Amino acid sequence: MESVKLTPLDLGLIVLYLLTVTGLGLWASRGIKTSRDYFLAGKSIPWWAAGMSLVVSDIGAKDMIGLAGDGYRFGIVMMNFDFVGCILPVLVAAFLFMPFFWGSNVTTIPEYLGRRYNPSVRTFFAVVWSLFMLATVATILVSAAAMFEGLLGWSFWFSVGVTSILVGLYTSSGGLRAVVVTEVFSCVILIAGATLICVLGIRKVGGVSTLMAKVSELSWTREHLELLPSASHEAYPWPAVVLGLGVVLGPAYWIGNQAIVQRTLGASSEADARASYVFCAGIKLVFPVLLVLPGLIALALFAEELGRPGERWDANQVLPLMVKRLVPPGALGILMGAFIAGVMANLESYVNSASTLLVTDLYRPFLRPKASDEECLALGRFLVVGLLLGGALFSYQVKTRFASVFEAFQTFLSFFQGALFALLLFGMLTRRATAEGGVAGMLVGVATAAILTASGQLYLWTAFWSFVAASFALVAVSLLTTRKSDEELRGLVCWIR
Amino acid sequence: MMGIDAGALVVILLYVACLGVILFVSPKLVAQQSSKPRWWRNVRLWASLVALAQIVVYAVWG
Repeated sequence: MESVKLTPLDLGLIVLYLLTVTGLGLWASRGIKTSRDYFLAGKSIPWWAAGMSLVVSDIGAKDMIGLAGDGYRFGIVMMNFDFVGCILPVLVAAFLFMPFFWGSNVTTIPEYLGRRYNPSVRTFFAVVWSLFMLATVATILVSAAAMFEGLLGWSFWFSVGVTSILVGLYTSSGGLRAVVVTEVFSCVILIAGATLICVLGIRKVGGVSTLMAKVSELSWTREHLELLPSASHEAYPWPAVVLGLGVVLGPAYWIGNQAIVQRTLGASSEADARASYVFCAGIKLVFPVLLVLPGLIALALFAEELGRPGERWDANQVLPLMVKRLVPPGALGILMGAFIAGVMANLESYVNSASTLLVTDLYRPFLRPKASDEECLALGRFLVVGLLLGGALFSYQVKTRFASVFEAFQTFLSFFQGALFALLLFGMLTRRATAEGGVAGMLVGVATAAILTASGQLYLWTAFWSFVAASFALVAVSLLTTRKSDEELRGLVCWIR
Repeated sequence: MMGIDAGALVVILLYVACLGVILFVSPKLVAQQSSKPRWWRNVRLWASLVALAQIVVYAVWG
């Protein structure tokens, strides 16, 4: 694919965006004195900022690239990742789980699990989440490289290097506050950029009704306009979407993902924590449409050029091609700004949260229980740089092993989300779940996911069945072992506050 | 709309359950504010509207 030529206006807009974000990030870094300031923004984030930050922590470059590609491959079923996999669990979490997490004064989700069950559960999930976040950083870098490679002709490693350095510059110094401030700005830019490409694309196609007619006319796009495809769909049969995504992956992601929950833990009050989730759900009513629509537009305009998705088909090429063909000079700067916003917001979220996990759940409890606050703060900053470096090195593996970055992300998640959700659900809702039950649920759930993944099962089913297996193991072992007293469970179970 | 498919019906039922959590379960768990908030600051109202919007989406396009 030939690269595009950026006009001075495009370059100016990109440089302006980068300067603004870096300036905002450095401005927000002022006054950070303790690790609580760094990891939880001193519990001072208002609801609207936390809500917008939640949106771009979840949706970033990997989703812009990945959902456009998967929208081309599978159609509007991909919107369920937000409609069923986000809005539904987010609304429930806003009223059941978040106020409770916020009030329990924990810094990380593994910390909660450690207090509810035992330290081995905490350690296990801290290690697993850290590895997952490293893989996610790699995934985001791959999506950034796909865009830069496709549009600017940069090499893979050059794209990965430039992206890592830019994010490392201010995320290492600013902590969660810098992350949230820059994410609010990025959220606005991201919505503007996504809207721009949809509007340009629909105009080019000739309107929404022409788009729908063109999408339906190919032999392999019969179910592309079905929000919930038939039970025999090759990748997203509706029972798997509802059970795997709606019942397990979505709730586990929005209730148990440190990169997500950390924003709410940093909210200035319990009411702000709740409102931030509802605000995020409101924004998510529109976002999936803006992200999946480019895939359908590409199908209507460039189906001959992009071809029918097969074994070696690259889903990551869809959005770069659209940008190249549809976006006029000048507007390209806005779109590149939006894309860079997505990359930076996503990356900073994950490296910041991974460093929080590593310091709070592994370094302090195991390596240096008496570590001073200054030491933890310095280590947190150092780890941000280390994680970016690790993610960059791992990114080539992700690029060569997965057809789509979105698929890579979801596959990583399905390994442990079933077990995690079972532990969180039973741990919060019932006082009968015991420490031994928690360990059994964790081991059985992850083992089930590993077996199902190895046998080639769809990742949505893997997540669901690992949740079922983890729940059975947790309940069975809990019934045979002694539970903690109500006093020990105070503040850890919903009904004992 | 030519009737609702099984998948859409399940999703709609999940959202109805979600409305139940928002309107009936959570008031028993979440600390209530001493004064009643104005309607535009009522988080429960906004959450219910989002859930209703999703019910409409799945009823029409599901």
